[in-house]
Amino acid sequence: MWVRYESLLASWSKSNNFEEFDDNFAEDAKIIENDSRRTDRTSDFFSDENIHNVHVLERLLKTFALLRPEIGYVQGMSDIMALPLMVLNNEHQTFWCFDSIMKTVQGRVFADLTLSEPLEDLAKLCRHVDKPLFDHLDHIYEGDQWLFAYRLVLLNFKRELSIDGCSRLWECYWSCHATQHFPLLFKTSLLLHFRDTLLKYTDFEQLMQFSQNLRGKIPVNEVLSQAIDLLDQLKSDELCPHDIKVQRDQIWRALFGDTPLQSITSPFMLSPPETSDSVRSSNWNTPRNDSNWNTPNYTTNGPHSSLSFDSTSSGERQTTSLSPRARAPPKVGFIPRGTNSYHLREDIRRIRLSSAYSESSFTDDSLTETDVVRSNGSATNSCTVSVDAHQIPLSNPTCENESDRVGEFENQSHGCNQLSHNNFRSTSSGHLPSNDSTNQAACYGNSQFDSLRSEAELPCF
Amino acid sequence: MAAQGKKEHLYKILVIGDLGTGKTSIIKRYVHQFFSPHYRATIGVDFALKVLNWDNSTTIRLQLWDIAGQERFGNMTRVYYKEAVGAFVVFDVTRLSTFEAVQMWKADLDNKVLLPNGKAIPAVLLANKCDLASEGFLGNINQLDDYCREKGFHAWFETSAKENIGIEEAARSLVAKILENDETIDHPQPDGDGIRVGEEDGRAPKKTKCC
Repeated sequence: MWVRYESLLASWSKSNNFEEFDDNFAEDAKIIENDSRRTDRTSDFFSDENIHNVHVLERLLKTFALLRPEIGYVQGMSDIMALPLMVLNNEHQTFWCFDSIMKTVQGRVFADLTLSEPLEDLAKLCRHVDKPLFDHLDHIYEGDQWLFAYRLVLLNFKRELSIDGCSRLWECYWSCHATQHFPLLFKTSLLLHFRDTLLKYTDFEQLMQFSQNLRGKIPVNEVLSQAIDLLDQLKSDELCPHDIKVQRDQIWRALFGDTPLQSITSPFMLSPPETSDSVRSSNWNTPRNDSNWNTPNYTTNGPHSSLSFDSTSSGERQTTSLSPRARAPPKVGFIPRGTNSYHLREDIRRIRLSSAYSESSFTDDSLTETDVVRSNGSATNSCTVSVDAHQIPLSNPTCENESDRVGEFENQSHGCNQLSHNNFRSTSSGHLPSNDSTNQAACYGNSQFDSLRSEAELPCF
Repeated sequence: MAAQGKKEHLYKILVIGDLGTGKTSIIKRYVHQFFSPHYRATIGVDFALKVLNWDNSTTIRLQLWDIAGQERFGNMTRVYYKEAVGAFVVFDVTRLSTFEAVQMWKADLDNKVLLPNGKAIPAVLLANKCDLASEGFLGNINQLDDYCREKGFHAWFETSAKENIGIEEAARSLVAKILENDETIDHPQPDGDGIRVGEEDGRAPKKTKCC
């Protein structure tokens, strides 16, 4: 059964009395009206001149609250919704994008606003990887929750990062590289990144002010890279003492379920792309702290000089050099079974990969229907979303050439919006590990992080 | 920072009330002397610090805790309320429902935090956005006086963060009451030098919750 966004919208928008709906809907609607008027209003997209976008945001949130009365509206959702809306600039795409986000780890934090679990996980992981830092922070908080991280956990840096930075980070989340708990790794890495600063603080006042003043101070690429390293470290810190190892295994189980520690590194190992492009080759092991980190000195094709899975300007696919366990330098990277067609580390290290990988070398049984996105110059994008029947009477077959259907992301090109479109389109309902029964919405596609776009190349509003 | 012989107090003050009543705006006005119509919804809690030179011999550091207004964050408030010694309860004079919620917030406050002597912490009621008030809503000041007596508010003030009305006065009133309490209760002064906790060793991780 299809559920159209428009019909959901129509189900409430013609009503004058919200009381007739779910008990909480009237209350939620009031809060939404209030919050949508104060979400990202300093951005052009939601400025007074573009007040219609504020109304779109309001409609989206109300419709969601009606579709999912068990969640309803929680303050902060307007922030989450605003980003895909700004990137996609399309009401119904944004709606299903948001709906998918809410089923990920990133969205499920809204279910328990005490955030006791994610905050505890953060403390736990910090304790494991940096005991002195943990001791220091825990001492300040006297064993209580680390409240300074509250908003960081709930909104996942929406308010701390630029639109571009936040898009990039969330796309990394949605790629589910090795784990759906990447948000946790990122936050832990952030603490490690600011370790020296944090250790200087002596009271929670300073910590609160630290987290409130993070805007513009987080080097996303660097922290992402640290997060990948942290993941590697968790997988393979053979040097760690035995008791830590036991503890690590416990943490691992707590965080990543029963997936055995070792299996996460296989079956696919990624080798450097075979390429004649010497620049790319030399970038393979480029230290991530190099001074020209943000200098896109290697891509030439395409208008955006961005990372791309397509390596030829004609849009023709190059065969990937990927092969299982082959020729891989130890720290280069890995693509475990069950990940999406992202190559997170490789992307971060500015390695361009061929898109053919996702078609030829990658299979995943848990994906029920797949349709590989072709994100090359021809801009023929399509994707598939399947929704578990028990969640909601929705299902969604391949959505090519259909319009306005559940999770359907139509083919279109919006000029400079195109890159972001591709990303959000294909990752918004990103495939999560198959043991995550609450998220069956799988959208499988090629995507890019397009990290190297400059501010000027942001979607034009 | 404090000159020799100068007393320094550290007070934690809560700012609570329904969402959209202007809690953040009041704090920003009070601390940064600034107003913007575009403040975002507070998530969880925000925090601001205001240092007052109360008199020649007293410096007061006010920790202002800006608590999210949505009721669904209510589970969090017990943590936030801990050790507070004063509170502003804010409502929006243009929305009656926010005034009706005041007693809920006050009851919540009294339920979750008390002074060391077991009494309710002093609370000041702020009738915010008074620059937008329509005639009549606050017409009967006597009534609001009665309301405050009945509900246990120390005082009430008409405020406008936009026009900078009433906020300084309200703060002085609350701080004066806190100081008064401080002298009569004679509870140990907050240690301005930081935290001194007995146990030095690493704390055991808190109990793990599942599901």
